[in-house]
Amino acid sequence: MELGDVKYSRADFIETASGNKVSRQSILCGSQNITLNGKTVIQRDCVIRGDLANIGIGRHCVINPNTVLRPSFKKFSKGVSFFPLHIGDHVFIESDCVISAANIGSYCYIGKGSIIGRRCIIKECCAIAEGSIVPPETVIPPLSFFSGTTSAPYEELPECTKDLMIDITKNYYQHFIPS
Amino acid sequence: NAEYMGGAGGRTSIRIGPGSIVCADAELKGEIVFGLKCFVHPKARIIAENGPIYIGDSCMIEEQVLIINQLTDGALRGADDRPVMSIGSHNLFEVGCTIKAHKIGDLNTFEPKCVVESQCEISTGCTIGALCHLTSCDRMPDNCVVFGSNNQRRICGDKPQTSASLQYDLISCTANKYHNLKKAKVPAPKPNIPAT
Repeated sequence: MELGDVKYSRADFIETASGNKVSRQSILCGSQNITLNGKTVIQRDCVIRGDLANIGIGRHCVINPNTVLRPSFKKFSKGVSFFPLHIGDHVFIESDCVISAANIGSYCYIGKGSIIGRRCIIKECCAIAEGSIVPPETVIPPLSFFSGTTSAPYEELPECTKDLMIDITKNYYQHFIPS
Repeated sequence: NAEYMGGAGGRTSIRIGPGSIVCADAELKGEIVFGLKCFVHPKARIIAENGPIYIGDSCMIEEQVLIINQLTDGALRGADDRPVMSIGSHNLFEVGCTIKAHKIGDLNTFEPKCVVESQCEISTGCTIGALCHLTSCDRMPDNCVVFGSNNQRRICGDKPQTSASLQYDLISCTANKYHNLKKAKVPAPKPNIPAT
């Protein structure tokens, strides 16, 4: 099944040399510290706080509207600092999410409206259900499906998840064309 | 976003205390007074629709937070007899929360996307968990933690503290470089070091 074409107006999006498409209505603070590795789509009203710490986003990621990517805060014995945020390749992040994780592995799917707590580590090929709250400092093992809040048991995802995510994200990018 | 429509009654007047930093991308409407060392992140929305909002010291107001004074009948009345929304010091408002409470004390943490309605009065050291919804309550006890999908409560044993002032120290230095700011005219007061 192919995704239908999603047209956007050229005036609304900035397209970079490596094929990243960033909405002009999104707020990217500290853009020197934000790395988009290529063919990533960032939709309108997103807030990406590169001024707090470095943010690295992999290839073929899709970040839907109104999501906030915000590096998390850590108290060390010697002081405090903001932790860099790394997002792997082929990650599909739905709208209205709040992401403070330290690390999101490749091929993940983050459902709509979910809140990823501070300093979380989400390994590869995970899926986070809609509206779920991942508590701070959680480590989510690869190929698991996380839903609800802490008490929800992990389900396992099939091993083809990686290919499915590559499919979804590549297709999304190919069908995201200027009108 | 659909809840707030129309302009705030009265003109916009913002008093920013010494050391407070307000990003120009934040939306501020109506009469708002900030204390010392507050930080308002971009895309925050503070709307003093029905009356003024007084915010205390060292409050950290993150992105997409909506603090709105829609009180029809507040206990505190300011000049012109309009209900006042007063927020204490050292509060941390995390991403996306919606605050309509008429009185908030000190050292509280409001986690992402929580909703606090106007009848509430929050005291000291409370933590309102993520996605929690506080609709009808008169006064929250001190050190209360609200959590879970059923908005359960329990009293927390720890001393109340927030990372608001620690975060302020970190980002106030770099905020100038990365954001357009509405800065206070007076810098933060230096700590008092008594002469030996």
